[in-house]
Amino acid sequence: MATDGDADYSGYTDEQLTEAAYNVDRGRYPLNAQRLLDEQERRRTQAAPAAAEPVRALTPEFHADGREYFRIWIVNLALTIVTLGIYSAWAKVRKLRYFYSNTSLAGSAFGYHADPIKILKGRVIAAAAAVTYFAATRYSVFATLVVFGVIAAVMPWLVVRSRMFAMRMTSWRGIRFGFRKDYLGAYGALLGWMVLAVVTFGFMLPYAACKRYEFIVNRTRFGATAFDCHPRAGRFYKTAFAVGGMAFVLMFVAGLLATWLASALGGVSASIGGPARVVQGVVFLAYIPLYALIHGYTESRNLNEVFRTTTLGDLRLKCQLRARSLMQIYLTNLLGIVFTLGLYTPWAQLRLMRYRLGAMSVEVSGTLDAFVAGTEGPAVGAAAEEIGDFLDVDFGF
Amino acid sequence: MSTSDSKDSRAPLSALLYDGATSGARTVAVRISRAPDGSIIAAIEGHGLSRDVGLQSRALRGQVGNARAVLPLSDGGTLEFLNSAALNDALASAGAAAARGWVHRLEGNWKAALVTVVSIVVGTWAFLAYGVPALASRAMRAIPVSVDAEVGARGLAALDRSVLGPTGLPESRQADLKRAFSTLVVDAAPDVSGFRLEFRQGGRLGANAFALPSGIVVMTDELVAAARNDDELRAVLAHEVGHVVHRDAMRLLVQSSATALLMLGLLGDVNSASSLVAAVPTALVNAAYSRDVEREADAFALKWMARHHISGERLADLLTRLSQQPGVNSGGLFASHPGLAERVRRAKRKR
Repeated sequence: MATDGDADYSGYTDEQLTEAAYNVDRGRYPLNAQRLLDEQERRRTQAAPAAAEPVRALTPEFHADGREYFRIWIVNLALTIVTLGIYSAWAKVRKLRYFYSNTSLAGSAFGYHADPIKILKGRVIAAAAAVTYFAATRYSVFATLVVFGVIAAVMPWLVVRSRMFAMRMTSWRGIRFGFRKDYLGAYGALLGWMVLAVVTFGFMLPYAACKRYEFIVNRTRFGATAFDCHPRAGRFYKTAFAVGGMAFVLMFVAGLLATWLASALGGVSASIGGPARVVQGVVFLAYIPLYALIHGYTESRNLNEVFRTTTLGDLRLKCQLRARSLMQIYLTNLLGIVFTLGLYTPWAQLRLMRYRLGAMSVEVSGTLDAFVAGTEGPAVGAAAEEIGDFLDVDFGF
Repeated sequence: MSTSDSKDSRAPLSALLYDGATSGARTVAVRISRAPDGSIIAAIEGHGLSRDVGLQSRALRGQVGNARAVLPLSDGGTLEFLNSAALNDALASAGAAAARGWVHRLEGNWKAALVTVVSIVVGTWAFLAYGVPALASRAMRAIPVSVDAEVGARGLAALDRSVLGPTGLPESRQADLKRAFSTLVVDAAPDVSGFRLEFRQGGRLGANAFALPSGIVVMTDELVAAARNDDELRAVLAHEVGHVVHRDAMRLLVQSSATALLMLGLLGDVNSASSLVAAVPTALVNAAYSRDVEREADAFALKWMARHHISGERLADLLTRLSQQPGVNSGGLFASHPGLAERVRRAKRKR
């Protein structure tokens, strides 16, 4: 039987220490418990000396479990159906909280604090907007154009409001993220460059994408500390040309394959609707790898560039997504979801999340303890975020 | 080793405490207890700190799975429990098991998850098979006939702009067929008004006939040419009259909107791939609805034909002939019409 006070915690890993701190019986072993706390304290202070410390890269850890998340997902789905969609606001909060609070950086988890009632109010407004949109598209071309015009005109405002809401609801170590309310800048960065991109027949599109990321990241802050980001537009062009080239080759090969199949099948093809149907089918199937290619390649290259050029105070961010891995995940996730009639969805979401988080890192030379909280701005409603969700305006990282 | 059994409810919980002003973290030990008024109290100790704080019940209910509980405190600080299972054990032994909320308990239950999967699958199927058609019938009664007229006129105008061309049939032939059509209508659908037969060049629709809402029936020149006799054309017209009597065009419009909404609701969670994933089952369900109304229209036509001693063979012959032209689909899960073999078999049964 061990006596109190003879435990030596110096050989423990940080995780073992946390585990022991939870398990130790303070009533029976008060000395051990104190030693445990001392050891934790020692490591905390040791881990935080000033300049001399070499740079270390911290990667977020993701602890979510597929089987556990499946149950959360299915309960969310069922309650959403039973309540005719009303529960979807709670479902969204629970899903995001599961993701955030299972993500930890330097030992601390992220928090998500949105009030489902606020999200519900936002969803009601978004639903009204959606109904107007569908009614307009059914009604006439002119009405559709008007609606498109209105959406384009309010889009920057929506993005700012939705980022403000999303960031305010996110915390790490008790400090909330934030987003600077810069409507004027949003109209320039999000609408101005986009208009220019359309006028130049898409040639400015990669530049507009670069400016969009730059705007979003530079207005984001952690507590009182703002992110600082200067991606190079040249990189975005390189990525866009590479994706365009590969997409062209893919569709060209699909076209060749389709023609070859149509002629090779000859008589057989008549019974499945003629050669035109065969070509249509192959082209439709080719869209699936095309989707994976465009999303996987663009996302990985652009995010890598954005993060590489981003700092938060003394911290440098880094992101090492691999285009091929991301494409593979997109493709297999899609197939998995289709062939399990949707039941694979929770695992698919976690897989993507785990890969993205694993590719990110923060380079720290000192301590992460010195960030201070910012002044909280006025409360923001969730309507903009919900309308944005519906329109697929997503700038989450 | 001198750690005790982890099930000991009196063991303090490991947590990280943040003051809300800086990002510094303090490792603390927390004991959970329940105050007489039912509120949950956390006694925090460590770093020379010893104080009690109340935990918000909303934050406790918001726990998800075994993710760490990150709970905002009333003083602006935040308490992060490192082991959420231990927190819930502590809540339970403090007599506050209910604090974690019933949703959280439900989410931890495999049996409930299984039952949920089965009921969603069965419920969706039942809703699509019976609910949507029944709701559509209900909704149709509420839609005034003037809406049908509007939709029908717009539909025909859109087709005229895109696919159909002006007819090349001689006036006399048109008049003959229109006379046959009005006789058929008076006899087969005495209660329905607003029927109108239109002829058009079919373009890429080829030999075809279709009914638009409000009773506009369009027949293509190619179909008139493909028919060997007028009984074949009467059979087709009777089929289209069946569609009009059942208000099928409007019904499909209503049902497809309902399925699209349902699929979006069910699968809308699948992020950016959702449109692609939701499109396939939506198309499958809508094709199944379409085949159903085609079967009913065939049955309507065959019943009328039997009453007028026109053999079902006429319909079968025409369908068989039409199926030999290129570009005609021949059944399958995505097809809008039942397979040729099935339609011919049903037609031939009525001699």
